[in-house]
Amino acid sequence: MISLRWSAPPERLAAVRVVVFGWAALYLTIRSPAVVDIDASARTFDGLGGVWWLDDPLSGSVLTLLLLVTVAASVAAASGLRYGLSAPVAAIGVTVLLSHRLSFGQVLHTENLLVLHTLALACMPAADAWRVDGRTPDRLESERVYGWALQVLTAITTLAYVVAAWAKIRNGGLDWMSGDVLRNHVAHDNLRKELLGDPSSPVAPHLVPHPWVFAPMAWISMVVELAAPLMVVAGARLRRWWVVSAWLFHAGVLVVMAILFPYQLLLIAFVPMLHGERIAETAPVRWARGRIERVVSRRGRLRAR
Amino acid sequence: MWFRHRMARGAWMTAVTVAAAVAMLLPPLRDPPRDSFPLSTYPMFSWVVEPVRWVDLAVGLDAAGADVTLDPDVIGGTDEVIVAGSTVRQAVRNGRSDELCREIAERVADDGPSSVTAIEIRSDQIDARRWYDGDRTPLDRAVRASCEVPS
Repeated sequence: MISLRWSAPPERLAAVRVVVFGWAALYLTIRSPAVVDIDASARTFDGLGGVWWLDDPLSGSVLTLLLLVTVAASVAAASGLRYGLSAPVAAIGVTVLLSHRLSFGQVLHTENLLVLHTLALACMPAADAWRVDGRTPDRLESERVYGWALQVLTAITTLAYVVAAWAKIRNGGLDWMSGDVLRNHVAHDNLRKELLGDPSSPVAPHLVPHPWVFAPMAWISMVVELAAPLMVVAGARLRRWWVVSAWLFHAGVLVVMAILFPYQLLLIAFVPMLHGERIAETAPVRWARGRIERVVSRRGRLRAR
Repeated sequence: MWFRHRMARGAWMTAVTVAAAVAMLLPPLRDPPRDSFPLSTYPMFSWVVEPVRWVDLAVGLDAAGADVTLDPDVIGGTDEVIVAGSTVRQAVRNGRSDELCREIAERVADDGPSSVTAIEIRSDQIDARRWYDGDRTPLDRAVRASCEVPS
């Protein structure tokens, strides 16, 4: 039930590295119009977080260059190539680009964990296994070191939930727990989406007229969020249960409020608290690894000639 | 090998652990708490909101004067509704409604929708619960700016 100090094989931390930096590269590529092509004319710029030092927004060409470097570094970090350089470059790039994107007067909360995980991973020995070049370090760290890294990444994920719970208690108090506040938020958020031309939840119009639905939803989300930090010292089985609960929580947010948390819904935020190395046994990953190994060995043969 | 010396490794691990904990817990402990990125107070949907609220909107009007919903890209040059909403809110608060109205009108003139002949920036007072009971009439309305779409 309790696991105060985790032990883990290097492959488990490597799995986190692959999915987090791999997602960073994919996410930035998919979201590149929102990251680079910013129409700043209608909005006020106020440098936030990673770009606190900026008074004015960066130009499109600088953002494009930064995006290309960051995506390349993220791919290299996911592959384990020159990790000591690629991971910090990727982490800083992700931080700057996403901070810049959110410096126009509206802070969103769907990308925080991606940034924090890349920054933390850049400080960890996450490329001791599953490297595309097939190299392994002279000597591996003890399993306690990889376990520590996973525990820190888990703490980052779970503390975000407890801070969110604290905000609800501080700002909403008992009213929030009654479900009334949640009901008003669901109603206003969805109607605002309708009025501003965005898809809203098809479920919300059926839920809002029924106030009794929202008290259990408020209590369940509060329990999931407040229980989160316990996962830093919980055993593997309890952690799996919490991950299922947290995933259902985000699925509920998507269904009721049409708000997508891709990092959480794809389980990437929760990989540090699972046995991530088992993804190597899944059919699509086995296929991809086979292809990569074939390319690497072919290149090796060509070099030998 | 990550760190050759055990003491250096231990010091680094302690520093990373402390930095992660402080980074996560400091924003909500500040007085007043300040939301930022990536270090956040995660205040989303935590505030008490009443069913009746003022909502700042940018809408298109057709030739008959009927509302045409504009999408976030036309309103704020973004695909995110929350950013588009914030763009309108900022413009209303900062007295830039006329400016935003003209910018939206230019975007509509370039990219449509073609049925829109005028733009209105306005604040509607809406009862969200009545809205979902089928009564979508605003309780009150304040027009902040209106402008023609250039032909």
